[in-house]
Amino acid sequence: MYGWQGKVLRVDLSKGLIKRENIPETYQSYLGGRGLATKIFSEEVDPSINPLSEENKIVLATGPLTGTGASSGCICSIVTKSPLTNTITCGQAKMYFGAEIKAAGYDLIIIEGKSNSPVMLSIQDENIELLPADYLWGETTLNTENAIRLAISDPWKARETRILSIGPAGERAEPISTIITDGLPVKNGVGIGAIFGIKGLKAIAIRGTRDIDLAYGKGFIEAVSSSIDTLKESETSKEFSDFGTYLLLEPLVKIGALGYENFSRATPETVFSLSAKVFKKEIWKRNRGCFSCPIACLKQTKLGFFPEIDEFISLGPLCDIINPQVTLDAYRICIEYGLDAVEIGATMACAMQLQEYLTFGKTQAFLETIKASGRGEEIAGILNKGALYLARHFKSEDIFLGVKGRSIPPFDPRIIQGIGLQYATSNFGATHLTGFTLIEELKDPSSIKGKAKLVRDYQDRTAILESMGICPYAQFFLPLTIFIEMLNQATGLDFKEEKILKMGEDIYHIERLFNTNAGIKNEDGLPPKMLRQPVNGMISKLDKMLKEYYELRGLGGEE
Amino acid sequence: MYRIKIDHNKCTGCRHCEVACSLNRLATAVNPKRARIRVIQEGDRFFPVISGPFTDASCNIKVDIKFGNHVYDQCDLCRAVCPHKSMLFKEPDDEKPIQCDFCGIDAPGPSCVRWCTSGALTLIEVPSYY
Ligand code: SF4
Ligand code: SF4
Ligand code: SF4
Repeated sequence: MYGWQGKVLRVDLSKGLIKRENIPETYQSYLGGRGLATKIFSEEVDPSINPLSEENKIVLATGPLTGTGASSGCICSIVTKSPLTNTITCGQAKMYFGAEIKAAGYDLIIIEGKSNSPVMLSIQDENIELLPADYLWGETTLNTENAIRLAISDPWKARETRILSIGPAGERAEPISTIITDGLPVKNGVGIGAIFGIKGLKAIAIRGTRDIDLAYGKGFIEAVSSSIDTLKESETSKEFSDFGTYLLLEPLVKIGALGYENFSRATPETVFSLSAKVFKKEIWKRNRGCFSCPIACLKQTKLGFFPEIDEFISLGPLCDIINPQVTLDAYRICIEYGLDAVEIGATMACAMQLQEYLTFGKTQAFLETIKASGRGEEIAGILNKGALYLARHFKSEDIFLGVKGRSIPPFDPRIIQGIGLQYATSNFGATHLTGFTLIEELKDPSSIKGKAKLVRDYQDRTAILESMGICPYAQFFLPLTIFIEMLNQATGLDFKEEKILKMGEDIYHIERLFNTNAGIKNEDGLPPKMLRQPVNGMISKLDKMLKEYYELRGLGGEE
Repeated sequence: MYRIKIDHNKCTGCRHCEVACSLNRLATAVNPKRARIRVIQEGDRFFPVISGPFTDASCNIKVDIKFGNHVYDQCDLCRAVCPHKSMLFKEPDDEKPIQCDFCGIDAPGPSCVRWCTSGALTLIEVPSYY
């Protein structure tokens, strides 16, 4: 088999059994990654289960291009049912973890059951073990990574071992917990940490030394080289390498689209002091690239990674914190304890608006509270279930700004119309990550013309890239055709663009059907505030876009 | 005379050079563990190291080098294929040493340089060895 390794690892934590299976026959119809994982998950897991029950599973899936050296081919998708949204969800592990799974000789890892005591899954090519992890339980993710590496007797093997772990928040199965690999949170990982935690799986450590065979090596080299040339020639790609997602910062501030003080006020002048150029000069030490990524959009600081823009705004202006150093400290705490930065930021912003425990702009209390909720002190009981729970707890549901139980990212859907449609129709609750239309929408944020199609296209393209194993950010600079070419050269198969896009659409529908069967119906919406309460005279015109969108998707309106 | 210039200030740790080298060498397979260049992480820095000659014994003196505020073990930055460094620059199955052969300096240049977009690896021409 070319591109794929053809092997699936099935780990039953209840019985302590590990089985090696062949990749399911359907692999060519769903490629791998998010697509294949979604297919397998929806077939094996009853949608109506409680996400925290033993029946829930976790499917970690690389794509046929993960680890092959295809540009930005670093992605390992992680599919499970989320306790935050009760929907199916899919996180993207970046950095080196996915490539290492492939190098160990596997495409997918399926985790099922539940262990009675903490365990860690250790994979060294064919040597697979479930090891006791009591000594890691309670440790932060960074300490966990260090302790696992220290326990490996050969320091060079320890360096090459890649680790995915949960922090204390995940151990307590809190709905806003996430997972961390190489000091970087799994993107879109909110809720997944809890499933690891309830299953007693503290970490996965993996090192592989196997080849990944490619069908046409020469053709593959040419395809990757041509993508590299395209990137080298593109000015925006260079800017994205330099500034990462902060490319959006100034434009978003200018049009007033940043959520400030829980979207309760228009952005004040003070926010203009935040500048990516200043960050670059004063805080960022270097660009960091995930495995085989020529874009390298991540930013290294003295204290680990700098948050991406969504995380930065959530732990910053959304809570009226206009101090990048404080935000960086808060982000660091989130990583250590395994908290999702966007959801905890949104939850604290709600608390601040209600004047419960916290006040907008008070940095000391802000940092102490994040730490307390990471540690699991009393306040965690209220904050770590997410903003919806908090709002209900204080009988002020209108303060919660989210969809399907998940807070909207800090980009205002009243100012940027298409992103609102994306929040409403995402199968994982409000997120921009499965349909990152923001960059393209900067041209005409307030228009709704063609936005339904734009959102649909981004959703399908993202789904398909994540199924191939490619970082979705790559689509801003490289056409899908270039990745299809890499896919064909790597696998020796002949995929056509039309068929590939159809797969993206299929994935969306499988996810949606899973949600419907989980009882999630008529929830494609936006918080009433976004539809009725104008900011700068604008509201979201969701209804019109939604109608057009349903037509495009062939959905007969609401079921 | 061509040389590969490594600027570790620019290295992003993406390891595309490892992939490129292994693909060039194995023709129809990828395996960074079999590459003749490996990217070594030390703290928040990355050092691309290109494999040098094989040695059957490790040095009996250990050396620390200070760059800026950080002290590095020279073994981490050294190019020798040496028993001290376990599997580094050795075939994973039979432990045969792997040595850089400065592949194809004609266009498009050494594979590792070709796929390094950050500018950390560049091919430079110098009159001769000094
Ligand atoms: S674009 Fe950024 S996030 Fe995506 S793979 Fe590259 S470095 Fe990682
Ligand atoms: S390709 Fe360049 S930037 Fe990437 S790891 Fe290698 S030397 Fe560093
Ligand atoms: S010059 Fe060629 S053989 Fe040497 S490290 Fe670079 S790619 Fe590998």
